[in-house]
Amino acid sequence: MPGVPPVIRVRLEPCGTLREAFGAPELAFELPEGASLGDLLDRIGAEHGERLAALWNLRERRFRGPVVIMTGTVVVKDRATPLRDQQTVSLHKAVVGG
Amino acid sequence: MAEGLNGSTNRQLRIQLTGRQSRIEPVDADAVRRFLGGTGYACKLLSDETASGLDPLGPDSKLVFATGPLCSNTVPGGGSVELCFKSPLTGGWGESRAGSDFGPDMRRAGFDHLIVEGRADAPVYLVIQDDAVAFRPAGHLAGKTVGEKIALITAELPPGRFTIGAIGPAGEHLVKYASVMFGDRAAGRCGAGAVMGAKNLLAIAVSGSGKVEPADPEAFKAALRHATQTLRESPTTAAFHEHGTMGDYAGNDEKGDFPTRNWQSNSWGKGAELFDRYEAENYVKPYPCYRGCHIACARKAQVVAGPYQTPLHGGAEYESIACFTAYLLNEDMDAAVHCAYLCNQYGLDTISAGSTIAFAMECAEKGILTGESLGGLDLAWGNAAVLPELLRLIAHREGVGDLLADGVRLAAQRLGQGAEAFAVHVKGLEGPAHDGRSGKALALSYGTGNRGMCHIHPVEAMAWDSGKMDWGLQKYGLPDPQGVERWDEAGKAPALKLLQDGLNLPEILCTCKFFMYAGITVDHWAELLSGFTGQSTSGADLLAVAERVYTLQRLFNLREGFTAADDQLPARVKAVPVSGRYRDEPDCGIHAYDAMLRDYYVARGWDPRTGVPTESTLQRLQLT
Repeated sequence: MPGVPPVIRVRLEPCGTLREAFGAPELAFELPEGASLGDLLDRIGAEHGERLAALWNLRERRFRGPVVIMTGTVVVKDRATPLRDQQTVSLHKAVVGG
Repeated sequence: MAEGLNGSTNRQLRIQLTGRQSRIEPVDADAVRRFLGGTGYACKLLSDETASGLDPLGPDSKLVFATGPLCSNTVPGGGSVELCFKSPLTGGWGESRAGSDFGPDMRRAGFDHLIVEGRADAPVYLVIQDDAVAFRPAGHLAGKTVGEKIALITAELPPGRFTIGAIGPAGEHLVKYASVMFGDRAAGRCGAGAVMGAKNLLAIAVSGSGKVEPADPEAFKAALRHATQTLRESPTTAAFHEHGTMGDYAGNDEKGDFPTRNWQSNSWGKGAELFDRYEAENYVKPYPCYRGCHIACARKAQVVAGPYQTPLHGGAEYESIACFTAYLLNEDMDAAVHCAYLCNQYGLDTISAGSTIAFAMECAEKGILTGESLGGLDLAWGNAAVLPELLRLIAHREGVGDLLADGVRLAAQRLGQGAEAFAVHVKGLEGPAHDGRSGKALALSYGTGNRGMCHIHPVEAMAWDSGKMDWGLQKYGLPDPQGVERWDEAGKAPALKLLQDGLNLPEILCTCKFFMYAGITVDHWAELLSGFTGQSTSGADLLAVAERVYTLQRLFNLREGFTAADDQLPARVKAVPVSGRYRDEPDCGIHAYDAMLRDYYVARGWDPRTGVPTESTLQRLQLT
């Protein structure tokens, strides 16, 4: 449609104890076409940062501690990683012992 | 099976320090069949070869450096060594693991186990190079730190690649929670360093040129591929590598899994801020604690400048840092990193050291330890400046350090005046930096752990009911953690029994437990073991061995005079926190511990009143 910027829809799947932190087993985000993982993280921080409390580093706009971001079985770290329409991004809060 | 296990050396080296003799002998094949290796084999050996009531620091005590059938640089987590002994701190079963090449090098030298006996008439260190054993004078090493000892010994060694285990001044001074250090890695808990020090044995260097090969190379390769793929796909592998054990520091504070102010609370509220400071200013890089580790969770840390300047070193583990911050209300992360480093150099267990100092701070606050007995030290909560000197005093048993060197149980008994109420321990082992009020399965594991109040031997059970991990044990009957409420008490006991058995396996096989966090299950271990030995073993077989070993360790404690009373928790550990975010949450307190304990005894087949294994259980486990 002319004048409407294209968007992509990304599904966020918090796993394990993160479901409780997010308050849902699945969340949907609409992001501008060409959006990156960093854009998704910024949205997560803006919309859920307060709820995530100690898990979210407000100043650096990233998860604090062992929260791992995966697409499929691939661990994604780089904020510049491009996201595509209908992609599922899963979040895992690992227990790291010790 | 008559001669032991394929894929093992099936030999052990016995060192008699009195008279400085050594002997190579075959392993006890029947013990291998029933208990495999590591803490299992060693417990059988110590049960058979030592008398009840012996002095752990006397010449009749024995210290076993045990490996297991999966101790190998090629096996995921196989860079491990298990030290087993009667603990001078608890008077009961003592075991302590270190991640290191020491275990694999022992096997390359041709020995599954090293048994140290007697007492040298003067300080010595051992050099083991394949079958050659040398007793070397060590007078020049006395009083040196761990790092100094290792550097001096390294300069004196013959050509070859050696791995060294050494004690520090704390072990020489028989501090009851002295560690044995393998470089920067510690066999920290229960006081193996004091046992070694009492034997006048300051260090062991080992080097081997042999190979321990899998008996069924193809099956082993397939098992290795399966395990490696699992590790590659596990988010926990990446998380461990990226954050190490410190990764949970902030989250534990939030979850109420963060003993604070000597267990007066289970949360502090400073975790996130301090974690950020640690990451920005102290953490440098990850490293593997043994060659070939797939995870490399160990940390290199430092303090660049200031009063706690500390060189780049391996350390700054979660337990160490939490014990030197939240336990003491110390907000200076530099000081905590420095104290953990000092503990490793003195050869002190960081957990017991931090816990004992927290106890001392509370005694000072209550007027039980006064200025006179403290020699002018200011033990106010949060006073970081006093910590380095206090650690020096403990390691050398000087001043108030002599009292604190015996741990909180004995120190409280000597001080009286109600100090027992602040002495947080089970069976004499000081509590670590996880809190049973975050998940009740951990509380029960603290009470029933054979080595005492330990979070990791055998299991960090709050990772199940609070952290929602199952370690692949659901197929063996573990309830799905997603359906379990962390603060519930009913129903936790049977689950804990299975968790303890499953997570006991790495100590028996001689592997790193963290690999089970990253997806390696009992079935992976069974596949790897089947490939290594060429003899088919199932996950159920391994769980049966683990239960047998756990019960044998229980029998060891019973013969040393422990009773069901020693499975109790300190009142403070069960109480609703007096401060922090959970102080108005009565459900996080532990209210029906005795009922959980009774259920646990029943689940294990022990007498529900006395906690003694029943005759039928002993027969079922082939322990009669």
